[in-house]
Amino acid sequence: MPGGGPFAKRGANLRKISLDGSRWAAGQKLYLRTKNSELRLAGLIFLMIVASSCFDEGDCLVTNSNLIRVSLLNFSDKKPAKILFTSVSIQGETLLYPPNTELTTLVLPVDPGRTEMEYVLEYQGKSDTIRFSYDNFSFVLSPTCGAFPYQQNLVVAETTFGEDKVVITDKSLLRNVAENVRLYF
Amino acid sequence: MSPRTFACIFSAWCACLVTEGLSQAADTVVLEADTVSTPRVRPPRDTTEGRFIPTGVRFGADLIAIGKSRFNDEFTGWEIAADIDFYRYFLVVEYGKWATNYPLRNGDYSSDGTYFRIGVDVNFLFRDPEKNMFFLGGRFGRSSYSDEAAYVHHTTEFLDNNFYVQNPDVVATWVELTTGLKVKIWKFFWLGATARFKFGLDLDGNGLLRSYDVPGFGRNIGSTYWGFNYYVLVRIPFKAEPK
Repeated sequence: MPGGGPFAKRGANLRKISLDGSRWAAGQKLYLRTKNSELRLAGLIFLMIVASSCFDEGDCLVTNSNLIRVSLLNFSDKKPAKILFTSVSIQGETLLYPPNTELTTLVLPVDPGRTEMEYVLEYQGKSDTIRFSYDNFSFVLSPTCGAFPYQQNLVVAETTFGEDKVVITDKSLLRNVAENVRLYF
Repeated sequence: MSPRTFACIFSAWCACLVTEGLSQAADTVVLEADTVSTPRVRPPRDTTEGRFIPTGVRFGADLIAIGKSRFNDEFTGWEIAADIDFYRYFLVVEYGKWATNYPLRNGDYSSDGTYFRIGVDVNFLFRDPEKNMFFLGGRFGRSSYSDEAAYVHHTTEFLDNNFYVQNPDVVATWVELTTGLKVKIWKFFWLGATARFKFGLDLDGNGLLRSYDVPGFGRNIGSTYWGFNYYVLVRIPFKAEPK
């Protein structure tokens, strides 16, 4: 129990608290230093960290896209171009657009099971090919969302357009990427 | 009860234990101050002789890892820890094994490896006669592991693809800020809780699979992660201590 002298003065800085438990003698007063608020702050921070454990799953924000987005531009003035395509197809496979379609952009799907895709573009009596290569990286978003392949490191492996006519602007195929390639005519 | 709900409830329960410990630790200090009937005589501060000589070593095991191994089908592992005191500073070493096997919506993911952490804790209750600890500290963590994923991916344009990707030999390093308590329970037996804020994860050896779970670190879903351990420890003093 605080008595007189220095303890009476020190008691002014103390706050009385109550504690239950048999180890404390009945009637014994216990005090907690107000300066120990650092301890309480540490406890609060700790609780916040622990509480964050409930949110570690995250949402199923799937951002991958297996589509190469191509902007068509005029080589001379670098402005958007509208091109009439006789056909746009994957080499040796299906048509990607109906015949004789006029387009300002192309969306070319890539097969995540491969690392290269070649496309044939027929337009204005010409036929050109572009072969893209890429890497498939696998990401596990969460057990409930599952795993997904992400295509990155997109490069032009070969093209008949001419090297300066095909420019990679973004090497990652993602949903929020508006343009991966600029193709000049 | 889903595993995630169980984890939340368990985390909250552990938090209650620790905050209760915080209160008791603070109360213990004050009780000492109030039961002294004469003005306290501070020890001479002009010498550090003998102050940094270790007085004992603690060994322990993580109860959460043991519990998760027992009750969680997705985790198998254990962790042991040891610390030694140098005045108010504690050199801490932790070593563990950690294996996971997550069934995914479209496949499976597994990881398996070992890790260690080494660091220093600073005890803020170093005048406590029972040597109870409230500490802040830091760790350097290093993990060696392998992981793999097998899954099916569906696209509208192509046939379904079956993927099997693996990282046979990955080394991960990271840094942690730690805080927690170590409280003497009875004679040589102690309980300790450590909360960890983990960051600065660096992966060497990740190939076409981005590791989802890094042994010792946890889920690689952002730049930071958290961790929590609850240790039961045995302290072996180097010489008999006054009662």
